[in-house]
Amino acid sequence: MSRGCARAIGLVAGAAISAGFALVALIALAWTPYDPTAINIPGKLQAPSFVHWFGTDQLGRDVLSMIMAGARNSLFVAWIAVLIGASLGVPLGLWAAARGGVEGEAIMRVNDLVFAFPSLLLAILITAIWGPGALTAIIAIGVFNVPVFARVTRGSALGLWKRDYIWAARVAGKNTFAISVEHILPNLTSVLIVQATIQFSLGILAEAGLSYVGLGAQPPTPSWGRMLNEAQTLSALAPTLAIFPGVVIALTVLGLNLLGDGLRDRFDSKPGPG
Amino acid sequence: MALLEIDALDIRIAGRRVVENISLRIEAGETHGLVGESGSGKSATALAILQLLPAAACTAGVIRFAGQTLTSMTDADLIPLRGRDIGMIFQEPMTALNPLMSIGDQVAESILAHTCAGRSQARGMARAVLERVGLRAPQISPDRYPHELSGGQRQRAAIAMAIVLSPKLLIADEPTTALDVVTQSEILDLLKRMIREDGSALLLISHDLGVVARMTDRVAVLHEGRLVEQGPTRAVLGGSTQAYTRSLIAASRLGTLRAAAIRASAEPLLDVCDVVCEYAGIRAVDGVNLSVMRGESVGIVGESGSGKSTLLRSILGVRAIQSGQIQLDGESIALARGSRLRRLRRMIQCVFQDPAGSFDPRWPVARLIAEPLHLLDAPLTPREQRLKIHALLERVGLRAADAERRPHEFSGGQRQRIAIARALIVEPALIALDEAVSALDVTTRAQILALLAELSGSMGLGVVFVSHDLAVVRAITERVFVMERGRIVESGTTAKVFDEPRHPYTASLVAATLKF
Repeated sequence: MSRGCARAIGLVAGAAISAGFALVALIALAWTPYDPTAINIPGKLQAPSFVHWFGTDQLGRDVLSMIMAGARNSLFVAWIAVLIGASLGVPLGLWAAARGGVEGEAIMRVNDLVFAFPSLLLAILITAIWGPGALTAIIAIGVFNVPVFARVTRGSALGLWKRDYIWAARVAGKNTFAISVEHILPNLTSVLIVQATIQFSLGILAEAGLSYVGLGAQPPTPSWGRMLNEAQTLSALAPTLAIFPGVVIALTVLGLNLLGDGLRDRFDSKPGPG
Repeated sequence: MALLEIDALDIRIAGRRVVENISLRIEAGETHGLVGESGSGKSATALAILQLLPAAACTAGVIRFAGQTLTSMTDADLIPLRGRDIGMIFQEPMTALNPLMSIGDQVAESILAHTCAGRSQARGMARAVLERVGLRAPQISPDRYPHELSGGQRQRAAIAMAIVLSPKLLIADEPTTALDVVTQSEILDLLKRMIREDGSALLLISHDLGVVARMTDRVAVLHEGRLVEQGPTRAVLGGSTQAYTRSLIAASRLGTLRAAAIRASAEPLLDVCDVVCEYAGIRAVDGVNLSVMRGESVGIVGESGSGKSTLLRSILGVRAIQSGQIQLDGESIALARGSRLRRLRRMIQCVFQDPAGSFDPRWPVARLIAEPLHLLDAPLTPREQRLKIHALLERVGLRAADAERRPHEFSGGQRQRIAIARALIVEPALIALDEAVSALDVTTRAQILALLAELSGSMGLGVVFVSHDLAVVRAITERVFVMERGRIVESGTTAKVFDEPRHPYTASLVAATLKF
């Protein structure tokens, strides 16, 4: 009983934190307290105050505004990357499960190959070709979401293919495509939602990592990873510059993971699908 | 003083009353049956004896075992009793055994937990008890893991675990329900010998009156949590005065359900010729010939792994065959394409075993039943489709209003009715049933079989009934094919094959079938 209760709290807390960050990112589309790119050298490195809640950085930019704008950037990159991963990975996984045999195996081995490369390597490669930017981060992270979705989809779909209702559908004359779309995919929704949440949080981490090494969004676009990078040299002088973006990244990832785990438990305990 | 006394036991789980005022006495060395259908509270009663009900359960009443009051004991006091004085055998040996431990170690574990024997001594005792239950080294070494054993061997290992410390009471909850008839008969013999040698009492929980008749001296009949009656097994099963017991007995004794007046025509509908079907590297179907006439009911019997389900799926055209020919109404389903294939598929529809797994859990009943309509050349209008679904639901004994509900809202028997409705919607000439009643209670089973017999009689529907249960096959089929390891070993009219079996395999199946 108390265990279930703790899980419910985790789910609610995760949902609240995630929704909070989504809201902040949405607000930042229209409004931030200050222009996050406005440089004001005389007002640099201010401590947190009522005027600048999170203080200002070495160029006098308002840190709260930068974090809000950074949320917009982070969430956008991670979201598009999940969409790319799901829209390619899910059909691939469904196809691999439906075909089975040599074709299915071949798809999954290519998948493993992609899995084996760190996304950083691909990001460096793309940067070498097109130069750095948010798009680089999106593609690099998105490509690495594909095998994750493909694998999860195939694994769960293989289990579903053995169910009697799939045999019944085949006796009813449905072809592989119709069965995949009408029976398999809808019964995978819960698994995929959970996976998407987890990939979303990993995407935020990866985006922060890429922009930390300079492969993500370029200045002046604010980004959490680069804020951390710039704060590094000033960590003795103004530790809050590193603390705020660091805490925000950790909180977002924690919130999304709590949400993902909570959803998984919720879906698992439900008698219906699965 | 009786070994086990249950006095006015009441169990509520999450507010629902599952057991109501049950009193039982089991003497030392006595064999006692607890009979009832699913939901009758028989398993809850067994778990209450071991005080293993879920935390959400509320119990009232007193359970005394060998002078100790179990219901007022703490968990710490109960632990020495469980496994030492009271042994338990569960239905599904695969889940009752730890997959990561060898069977020898699992048996030794309970010796180590309850006695002061050393590790090597425990191993020796484990080896000895495994030999007693027929798992002899070197053929079946104690170092084997559960997945390396067959279902019957696993149940033997589970029995070894339960009896290793010679408990005073052995509780067996549906110990043979997951097994084939021949294996069931062997396991029951073993169980009987073990309790006789050890002088243990047995509480046998089963839905199967045949099992209870064979194994027990006394029996108690439960229905919806209440005790209907109890007494000597012979007297209760032989001439009960209680209406519920009588209906249970009638449902178990099936008899013949098909009206003798209905004669199949001589026109062949399905013709299976020299079919070979390999599946996962095994020749599951190995040169099978069989035929079904229009309107005829045919059974295929055999144990699990005999290839009967694979054969059925290749007949349905959903599993590729390696050689041979399957012709439906003179046409090969494997070669047909387009509208000709749709016509053939419309002629043969199916019902599967598992009433829970046969439906997409997300679809409402109306959509589930309508799925084969996909095979029509010209689609029905939504109104025609709705009327047809409603008429069919009523035809199979459900209500038209059920069309909007989802499968999990129905009981097992109702779900099989839905499955039959789904099979009938395209007005097939032949309906193939794969163990379609083996997951059901006896009363429900009798109802579903009666429905099938009635439908096939009134609609001239041919039936292919695949089952391991000879009584069921006898009840609704005219001809039978006996299958062993991918081959048909005997065939003929059902009554003749079962009454005068010629092949030794058929004879062993018939001999293992429990009668009472």
